[in-house]
Amino acid sequence: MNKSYELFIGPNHPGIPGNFSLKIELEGDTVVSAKGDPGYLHRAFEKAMEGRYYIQNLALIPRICVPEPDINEAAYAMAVEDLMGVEIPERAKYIRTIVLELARVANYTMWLGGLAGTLGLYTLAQWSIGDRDYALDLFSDICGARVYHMYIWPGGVRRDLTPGWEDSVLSYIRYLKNRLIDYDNIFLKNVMFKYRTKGIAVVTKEQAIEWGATGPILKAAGVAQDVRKDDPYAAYEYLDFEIPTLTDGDSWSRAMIRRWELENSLNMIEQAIKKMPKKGPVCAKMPNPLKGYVPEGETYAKVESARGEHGFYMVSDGTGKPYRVAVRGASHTHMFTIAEKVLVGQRLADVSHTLVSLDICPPEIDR
Amino acid sequence: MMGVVDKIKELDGAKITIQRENRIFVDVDKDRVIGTLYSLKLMGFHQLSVQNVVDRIKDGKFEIFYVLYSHEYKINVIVRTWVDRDNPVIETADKIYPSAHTWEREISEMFGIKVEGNEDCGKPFILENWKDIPPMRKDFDSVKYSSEHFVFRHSEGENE
Amino acid sequence: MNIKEYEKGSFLKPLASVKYLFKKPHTVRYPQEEKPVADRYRGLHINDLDKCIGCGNCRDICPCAAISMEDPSNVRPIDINKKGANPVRPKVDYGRCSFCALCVEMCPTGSLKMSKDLIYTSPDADAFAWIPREEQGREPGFVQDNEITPLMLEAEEMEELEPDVRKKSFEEMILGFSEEQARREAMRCLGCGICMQGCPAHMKIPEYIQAIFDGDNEKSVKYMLEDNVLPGICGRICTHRCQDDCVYQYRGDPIHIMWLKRFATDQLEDYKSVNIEKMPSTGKRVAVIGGGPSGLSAAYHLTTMGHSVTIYEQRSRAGGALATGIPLYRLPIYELDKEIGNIESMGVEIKLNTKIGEDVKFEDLLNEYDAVYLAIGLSYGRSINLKGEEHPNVVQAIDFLRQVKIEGRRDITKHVIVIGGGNVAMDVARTVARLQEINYGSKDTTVETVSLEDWDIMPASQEEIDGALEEGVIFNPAWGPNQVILDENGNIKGLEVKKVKHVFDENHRFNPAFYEDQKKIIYGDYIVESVGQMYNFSFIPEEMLNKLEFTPRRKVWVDEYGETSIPGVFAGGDIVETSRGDAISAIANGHRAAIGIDRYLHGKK
Repeated sequence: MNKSYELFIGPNHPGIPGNFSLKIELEGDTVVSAKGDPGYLHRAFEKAMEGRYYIQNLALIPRICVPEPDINEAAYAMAVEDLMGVEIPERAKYIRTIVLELARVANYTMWLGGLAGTLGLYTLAQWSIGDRDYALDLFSDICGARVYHMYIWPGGVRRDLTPGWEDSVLSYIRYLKNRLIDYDNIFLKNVMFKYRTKGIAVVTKEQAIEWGATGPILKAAGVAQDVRKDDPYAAYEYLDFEIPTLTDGDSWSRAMIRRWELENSLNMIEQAIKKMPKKGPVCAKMPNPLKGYVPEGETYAKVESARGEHGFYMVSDGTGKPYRVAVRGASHTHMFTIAEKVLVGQRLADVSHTLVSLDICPPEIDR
Repeated sequence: MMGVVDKIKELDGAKITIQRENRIFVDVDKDRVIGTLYSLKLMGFHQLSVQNVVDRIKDGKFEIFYVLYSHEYKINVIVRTWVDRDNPVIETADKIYPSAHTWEREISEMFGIKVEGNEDCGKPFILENWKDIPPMRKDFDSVKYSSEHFVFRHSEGENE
Repeated sequence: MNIKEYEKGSFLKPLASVKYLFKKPHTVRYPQEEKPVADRYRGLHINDLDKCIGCGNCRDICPCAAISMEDPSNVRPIDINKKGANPVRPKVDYGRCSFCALCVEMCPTGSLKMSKDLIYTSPDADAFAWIPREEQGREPGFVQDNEITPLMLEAEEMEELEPDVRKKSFEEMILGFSEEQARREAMRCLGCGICMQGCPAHMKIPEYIQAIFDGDNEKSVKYMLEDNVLPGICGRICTHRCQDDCVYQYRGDPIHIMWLKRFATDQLEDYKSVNIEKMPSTGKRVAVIGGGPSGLSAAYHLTTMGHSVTIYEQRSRAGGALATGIPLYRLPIYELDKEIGNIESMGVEIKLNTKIGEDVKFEDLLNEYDAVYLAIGLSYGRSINLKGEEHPNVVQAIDFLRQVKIEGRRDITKHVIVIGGGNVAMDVARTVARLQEINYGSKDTTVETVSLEDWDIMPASQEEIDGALEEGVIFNPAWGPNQVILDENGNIKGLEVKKVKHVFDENHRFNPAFYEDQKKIIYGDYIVESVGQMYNFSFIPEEMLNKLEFTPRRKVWVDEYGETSIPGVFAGGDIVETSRGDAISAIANGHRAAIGIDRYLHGKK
């Protein structure tokens, strides 16, 4: 009798934020092999971008990663600015930093809810999704949309901040810091959480480096790598922050790293608001988007997303439309190189929680 | 002691372009790619950020690039090589960089590039029942494809 | 962060959640409660259909192809005759719209906005497309901003000679764009083509600007020659109605279309490689009377159609008003030679110094040629029956300008009065200013203009008025000439003028009235009358002239192909044109007549 059997997880599954399928082979309830099956969400953005003017892609790029769209806008804008040799105004740098960090906060709060959900604690999921909504309202105030902001564009940002926006952000930060105490109380300091996550889905330091992990996975394994520190963009070079690291590389450590980063992000926003020039231009003068060309060249622009290194490789042939844009999402590597290996030997009950712990974002795989 | 940039400059048969302090382009022949990648990994470039293809249709070539990163030196090295569009074959890099395995699956499907040594290439990855030419190639016209395969719906309605 | 605390874990801490049992939930109970929407919200569109000009830039920038330009008449009638506008308005398909608001950013008039409203439901999938309009009553959200905009609102600065430098000679005062400036200016063009409606010749403006942007000046001039055989001249002296229509006018500076044209033509030494290809010879012969812009335009196009063309010109130089009227500092001779030379190089024969009626009989032309094109223009000055006008030092502007431009006249008296407030009067005044500078170093000299019109309705263009003021011309607006005052020796002492009450009467007709008691004398010893020109048909035999029909405004009547009431005789240029009578209109109806003559010669009529 055949002892093993195949199980399909997805394409719609609460453990995966997006349409993505996972084929796992089980013996009893232990995973023998796991294979990711992408394509359910493929929108051919890379191809579509080649046929549009640089500015028109503003409508496409935020959709590459839904929970955290601003990293795409920033990396795309940085790539275009790099090719054109445009230096963005100082105030725009700070605004970008604030927006990117706020997006990270929104992403981590949602992620915390996802993790709690896969572990069976739906209370936190409700809370954190609700608290993320307040961040989305803040985005809506400056750019007019809650999810697809299309706010950071080549040259700077699309509009100056609205009067009093900084104060709303600061009061949101105060509110969230208070809420985090309760998050900790009911979830992160909960012994159940510790028992469910300690020693699960371990990625050791050697493995993390060998497999090309980035972001929280690498930090949880003990490597202090962060694009914000190593190749500072926006206004990160003016901010004081440290990169948290832990050593175990298990699901628990990754959750802690993210919790830690969430707090760091809140502090960084406070710092940035304090240091930001109070007035000044927020967008450089750019050429007519219907005619303006970008000089020929190739460049790679990267930012630190909530999941790791997020990059745009951009090739221009000197016309008004990009010749090729290749997107590097952290989840691509994390899913196929890491998750497929790490899942082997897990219990079925831990599969979805492992995927959340590695923060697999299918839109980054199916671009 | 020799700096890592100097070491990169000494790579065999490579054309080095230093775009800026922490971004170096290394252009090599197709046959030297794997050797170059291996040398770079030994130097400390452990992370393959992205491997993908640019279709240089005017030159009749595919440009294959590997964006590498070193945690130690904080430098991005971009290795580039070119293969003929008519007979695009490259050697797999997944023994050096495990993450190359999936990137290669993707480029073999999207560009029709044959990757020798990667047993998963050729198996359906993202596309299902694809019968046209590989879609990311420049000569694939996505607008034409969609107009042939889908009905364009033009909304006529004007009634609030 | 203290990791230790987390590592310990606790059974009791989760009980902290119990306190939320007694807290107010933060959910909004829609629809009983409404959540306030951000001021910049990007919701469904709003469009002011009256302000919108249907340029289609929103459609061009839309990344999702959600916008189509459609006739709005079934939802709300619009003014379809609006100047500088297309009679279409954007229709948005909300099945495609991504609410990026790029259309709002790119809207040149500012008519398009996003609203705060995003909620719309219908069971009919086709209902999600409509022409947005203000009548839908949506509250504005995201609007455009002139500070941060993808449009390049500011035009390139054009360099010109300083007033004290340019006064010293007849050197061309506008220096022209450098290559870099021209490309930057060309980059601003959105390619919407609204300007083409304003141009009487409907030149392919977006195409030739694109070619300039691409650095392909030959291709650019090729596009120009299709509708305008004198692009370099028009690049200097055109009334540029295209620029008045340019969509940038609403939020910034219009594109310098005219100077871009000049830039492209200046880059080519000749037009040999870009001329329209000639068709095989038809053996038909056409006579063109008058070598002005209209005659040259007709001759060029007829030649490309394979007919052989002869131009009869009474002056020593072809070009009509361009050659004799427009001062050198605006249009240098070499530019005339270049473009007229190009027309000659196509095989057009130009007979100079040949006056119809004297040297050649009009009837003979009718017999000898298969068709005749009348483009004699308004080449005689119009007198105003001023008392004392017969004095030799009272001259007509058209004669004065011709003497200076092509007959080499350089003498002038010290105190000159110019009657008129149009562009020709400005040309005269500025020419006089130069002559006085050359002759007397501007010491103790004056040049004054007298015009019926006050500043606000002065017909001269603002640039010309400003230029004249900079060069020291004194204006006397709203004064009407009464009589020439002579001294005891019979020399002119000055011009008596009286204050103007109004120029136009209640019916907006030209009917000046004066305050007879308010008079003054403007002192001067030389008077140039510049109040208009007229035609002279004395060369046409009486019985034939009687057959020639005129419009109520005393212009020659022509049909849509430029044919007059006499078969085989076509007319164009200022004797037909009722608008401003500029070179580009003449060029346009020359082209029209060429098509008409071609049809006539092929017996299509």
